[in-house]
Amino acid sequence: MALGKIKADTLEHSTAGSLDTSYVVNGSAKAWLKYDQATTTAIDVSFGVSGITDEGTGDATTAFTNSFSSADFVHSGFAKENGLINWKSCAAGNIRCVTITTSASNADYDEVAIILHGDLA
Amino acid sequence: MQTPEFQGTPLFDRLCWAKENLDGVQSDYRVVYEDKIDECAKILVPDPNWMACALQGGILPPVEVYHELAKDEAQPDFTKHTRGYLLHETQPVGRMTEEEAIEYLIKKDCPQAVWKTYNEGNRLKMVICKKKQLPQTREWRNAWKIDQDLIAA
Repeated sequence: MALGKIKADTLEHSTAGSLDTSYVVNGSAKAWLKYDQATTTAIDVSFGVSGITDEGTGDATTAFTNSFSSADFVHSGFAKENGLINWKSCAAGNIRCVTITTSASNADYDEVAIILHGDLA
Repeated sequence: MQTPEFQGTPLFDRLCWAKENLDGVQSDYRVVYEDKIDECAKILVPDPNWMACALQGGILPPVEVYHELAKDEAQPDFTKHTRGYLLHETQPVGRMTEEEAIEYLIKKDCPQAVWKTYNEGNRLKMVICKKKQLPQTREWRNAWKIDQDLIAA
């Protein structure tokens, strides 16, 4: 492969100790995105995502390019200002989230961010 | 830019390469489909970075790989993918046109029950359109359906 590659199991600092590189690999977000569902649904920035399905008001499913090893992955999310985000369902290859207001009704937001961590397939 | 030889390279690494080297492509295409009779029409929007990978070629695995993983996940005793290597070791697909990429995305992210029989039965279940053909506001979003009369016309 034409990419440069450094192979190392450990990173060591001169005074602060060492770190197993598996922490870096396992700890990195495997997919993330910010999307706008307030006008026409669109993905603003992303990584590891193939597309988003607008399923209704505040309701959207994000599909991953590299599936997780199972549905047991970790996700966090934010919606602009007072928006809250709940997850409705997930599988190894996608997650369905709903953005709601503080009064718990579905609502569209122009900035919704989701970050996903876990083991990839 | 030439895509490196990626067969055998973890898909995550390929996506990192693409993120660093390719500009995202905002597609104008949208896929509108109905998968449940009592729910509104769904709208599939391609991801710009994913579309860049599809147009570049040599990065994404064949869509059949995702179908194989979906079959595994549908098994009642499924706990964890054991055939993830299919994503990494299968020969990546070559350069696609934007239309071919949308077809790939439909097969990947739309329910199979929709795209395999989209024009059977008494209602068209799926349509590919341009963004500007969708309603310009989200008023009554939860009541949106595919306009069968418009399609017939």
